[in-house]
Amino acid sequence: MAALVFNPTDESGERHVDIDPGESVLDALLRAGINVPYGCKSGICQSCILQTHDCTVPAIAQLGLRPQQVEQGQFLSCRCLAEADHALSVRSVDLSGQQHEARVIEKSRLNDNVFRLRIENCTTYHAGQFFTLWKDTHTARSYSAASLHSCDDYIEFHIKHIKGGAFSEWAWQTLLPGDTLQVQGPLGNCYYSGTDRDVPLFLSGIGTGLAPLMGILRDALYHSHRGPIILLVGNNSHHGFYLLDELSELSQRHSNVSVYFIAQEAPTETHKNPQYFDIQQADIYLFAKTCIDNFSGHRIYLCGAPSFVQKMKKLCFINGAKMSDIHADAFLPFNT
Amino acid sequence: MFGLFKKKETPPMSLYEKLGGAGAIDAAVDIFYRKVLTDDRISHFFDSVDMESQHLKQKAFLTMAFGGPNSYSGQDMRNAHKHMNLTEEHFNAVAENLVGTLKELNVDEEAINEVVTIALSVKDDVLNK
Repeated sequence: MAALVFNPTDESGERHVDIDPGESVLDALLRAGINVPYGCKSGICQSCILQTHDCTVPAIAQLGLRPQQVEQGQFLSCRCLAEADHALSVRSVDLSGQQHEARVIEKSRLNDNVFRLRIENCTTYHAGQFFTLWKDTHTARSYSAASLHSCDDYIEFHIKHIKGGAFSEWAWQTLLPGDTLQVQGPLGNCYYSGTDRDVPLFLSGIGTGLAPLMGILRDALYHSHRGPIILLVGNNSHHGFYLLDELSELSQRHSNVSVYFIAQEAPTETHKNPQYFDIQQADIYLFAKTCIDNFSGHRIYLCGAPSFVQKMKKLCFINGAKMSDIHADAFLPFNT
Repeated sequence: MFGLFKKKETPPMSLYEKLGGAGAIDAAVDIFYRKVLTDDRISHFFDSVDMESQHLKQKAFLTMAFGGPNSYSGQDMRNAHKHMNLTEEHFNAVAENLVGTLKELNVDEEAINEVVTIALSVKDDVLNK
């Protein structure tokens, strides 16, 4: 049995907690009834950061943190697994220094399941990076920016409304323009780099994976990207798509941009409506392969569910893409 | 009265240096991993693994096979492959892909043989013999 000592910032006193070998520091603390903040439990959202002064933590528990944070002994408690006979002394971290307070500017439906949240442009970021939004001091969720820092006076997120979801349900039901929200970030490396403006770009995402891709696409155009850009958006059914008109308009305005909407399921009667005319039924992977025979020399951005990202990444790589040219952002399901 | 000056000998180039060091690994790893992923004999082993971490492992493996600085031990090899029920055929498939990669990069026969010798040295560990 390994031992864990926890010091909260609120001076409520030191707690001694048993931790099983292989168990994460976060899980051990939650099991002991200690209310530490957390979100994705996958080392992505950075909401479960704790700090240790005298113990070493595995490198994986500090992946994605800034050098100053590593120097201060900060680590992701969900990624820090205890070893047998490990004694760990940790304390909570005041994350307010890493957070920005931002006012909600707009909230509106994009389709039956997805809504748009715009908050004030409170910090610099690259389109496609993500932010962790805090509902309260304990609940956080990460969303990618669909907006452009240099053009928009807001940061835009596309939030899938999950009935009963800890964040999305609350945000949809209660957040109003003028309310404030704690925002952490920007985080992540899935964004446009303006270094070579002639390379072909391949952007593909499913569901709200469109959000970062929309940001990346607009950023590329803002930087006058000259190479061809293919955007492949996928959803199970015709109902899942949003921003169809905006994207069609973008591709008409820029001769190097092609946008395809691919639904997995066949359309039903309700989909014979003109608003769905641009949507094709196909297997997105086969479609990708018919769009691009050889991915060699392409810069690739993939966003959405992990199974999609993994499969599309493999397809691009096997068909010639360099591993270092594939940028991916897998949206992890948050366990509550 | 004069000392005998021996011409200073440059140490012979190591295999790793001959192959081009870290740059060669970067060039080889994508080609090698692509071959492995498309080889029907072994591709199923990689269906559910994370590509990024597997790519790093392939890089570590190539560094070892190229005679470079690596932290691979026989025990690591043994533990990593223990539960995979690997056979001679699987090992040979990887070795063939390794040779194919080197040929594609125009590595000469002699160096290829050296690489294969190193790869063969971990065969028993990989096959858990």
